Amino acid sequence: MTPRQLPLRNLKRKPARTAGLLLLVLFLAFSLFAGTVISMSLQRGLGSLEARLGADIIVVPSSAKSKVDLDGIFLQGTTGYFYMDAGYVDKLQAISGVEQLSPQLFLASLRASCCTIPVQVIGIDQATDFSIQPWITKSYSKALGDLDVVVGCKVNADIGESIKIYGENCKVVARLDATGTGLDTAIYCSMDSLRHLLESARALGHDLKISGDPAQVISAVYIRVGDGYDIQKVVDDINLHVRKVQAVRTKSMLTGIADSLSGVSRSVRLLILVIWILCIVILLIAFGMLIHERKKEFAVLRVLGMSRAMLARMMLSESFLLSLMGSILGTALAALLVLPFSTLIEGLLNLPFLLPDTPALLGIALFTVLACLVIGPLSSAFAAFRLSRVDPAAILKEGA
Amino acid sequence: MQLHAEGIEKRFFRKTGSANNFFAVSKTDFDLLPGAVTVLVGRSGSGKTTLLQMLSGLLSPTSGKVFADGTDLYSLPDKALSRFRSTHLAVIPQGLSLLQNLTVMENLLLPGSLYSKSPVTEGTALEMLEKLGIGHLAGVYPTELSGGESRRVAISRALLHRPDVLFADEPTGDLDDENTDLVLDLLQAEARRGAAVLLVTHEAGAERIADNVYRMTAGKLSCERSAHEA
Repeated sequence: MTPRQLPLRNLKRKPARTAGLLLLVLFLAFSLFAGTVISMSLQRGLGSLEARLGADIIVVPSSAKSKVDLDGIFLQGTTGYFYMDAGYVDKLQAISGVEQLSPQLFLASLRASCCTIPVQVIGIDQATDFSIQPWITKSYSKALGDLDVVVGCKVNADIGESIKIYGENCKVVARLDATGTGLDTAIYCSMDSLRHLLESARALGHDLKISGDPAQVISAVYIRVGDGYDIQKVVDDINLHVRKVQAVRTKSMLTGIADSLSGVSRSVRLLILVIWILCIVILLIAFGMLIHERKKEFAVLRVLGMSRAMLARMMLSESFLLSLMGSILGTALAALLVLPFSTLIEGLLNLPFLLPDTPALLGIALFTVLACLVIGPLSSAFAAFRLSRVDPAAILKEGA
Repeated sequence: MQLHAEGIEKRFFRKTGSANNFFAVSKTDFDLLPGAVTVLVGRSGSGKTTLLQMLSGLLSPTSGKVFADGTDLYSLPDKALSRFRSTHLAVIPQGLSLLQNLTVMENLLLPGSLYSKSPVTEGTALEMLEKLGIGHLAGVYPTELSGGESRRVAISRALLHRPDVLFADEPTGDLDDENTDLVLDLLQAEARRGAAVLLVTHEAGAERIADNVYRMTAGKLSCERSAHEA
């Protein structure tokens, strides 16, 4: 037995005391890791959503706003469809400030073979699209052929498989990376493929309420405003000059989500703070109580010849070991709960939720362990100081 | 090693009572000589333990100095004093003084591992335990020991590292006659080896091994018998 082995032995021989202190550090680590990951995932989710939308303005038929939940369709991947004449693209192009625009066509599957619930099928114009295409290009660089589809990461179909939509076999050619949004459940295809599916749906007797030629309809137009133009002014111009359409600024669509996200993030941060303050106070009290409990033990060690510095080092080593074990356990437990259940958390919060990538997660884990390794020994520093200065004569005098 | 105390005294303050400022040990000169057993007797509360603590480097005197082979113990910084105590002195305190988290064997070996580069081996420690009739208890924890067994472990721990000066404060308090004789013989053997031994005791039989006998009365030290005088 050497002085270096003493801290571990002391922890082992007092399992209840060790478990109690370990649990406190575990709470610290758990709350910091889980809270940070949740907070970061929400931030990333919003960032991903903004990037995925990629447009400053979305134009829909004016009737759409009263019929469907636009935020749900564009931000959360809920299903819905509405149609307007494709000729609006030219009218919108003529509006001053419109730099880039691209139409999209929507169709909600009733029951696709891939999914237990209806999914949103979105047709994109690959020649003009600037919103979805950059994401598709990451996983599939070729042009989408007839009835080729790209699926969101949460659609249950692998590359090379076929999924049946309105009786048509659609070939999955790529899967998109996770966005942490409801758009992960959508299916994307070319405009021609979607028109093909529209026809199939109509042939199967579904009333899609299309007025006019089905080959000449679109659902929405994504617009990017040129540099130096006031986006709100472009929105106002569209609403003023183009009849029967409604221009919506994407930023205003995101405001609600951003507000909720900011509220949840604030609450998470506050919760972490409260847990940390509580745990640190309890740790201080617990270590403070140890002063009385361990006075005699430390006095004996002094009698045997340990210096004050050796005693303080021993106490700090014990709290370091506790912090190391507690922080690793707490971080691992938080990772086990938060990472696999991110979809559930996303559902509960009803906010875009995109987990940080692996290096970032490792960074948060490392930060958590380091923070606990600083806080644990710091909490015991006062006790270590007091115990190192225990009067060794007391043990001889008290005798017991 | 010769230990010499020069004019040491210890004053304590009590928070309550009329005599709230008293001398546990009045100004005293004292020598502990190598190769001799010095027995210190006196009534409870007379200041024996306080004197032992001051001599062993555990309690700094209110005034006066303690020299070990010319070195003023209390002028040393804590680290040096601790090392000195661990290397040259050993104390058998009153009452139970074993570390509860360590086995008997580990209790014995720990002091030797604090500073020494060649600590005592388990075999030597076991021999010492067997001398005191507790070799079979090497692997048990102190919570499983009786008072007498714990006391013998503490004595083994002090003797094992062959100190230059050995302080024993009521070492036979929990022991039967047979073990008391055994321990007194071991203390005497330590002195014959060359150690200076200070034995604080109420044990009447202790005087048989004493080279010097001192009496403490209300903090004042008087010599009752000295080998030098004899």
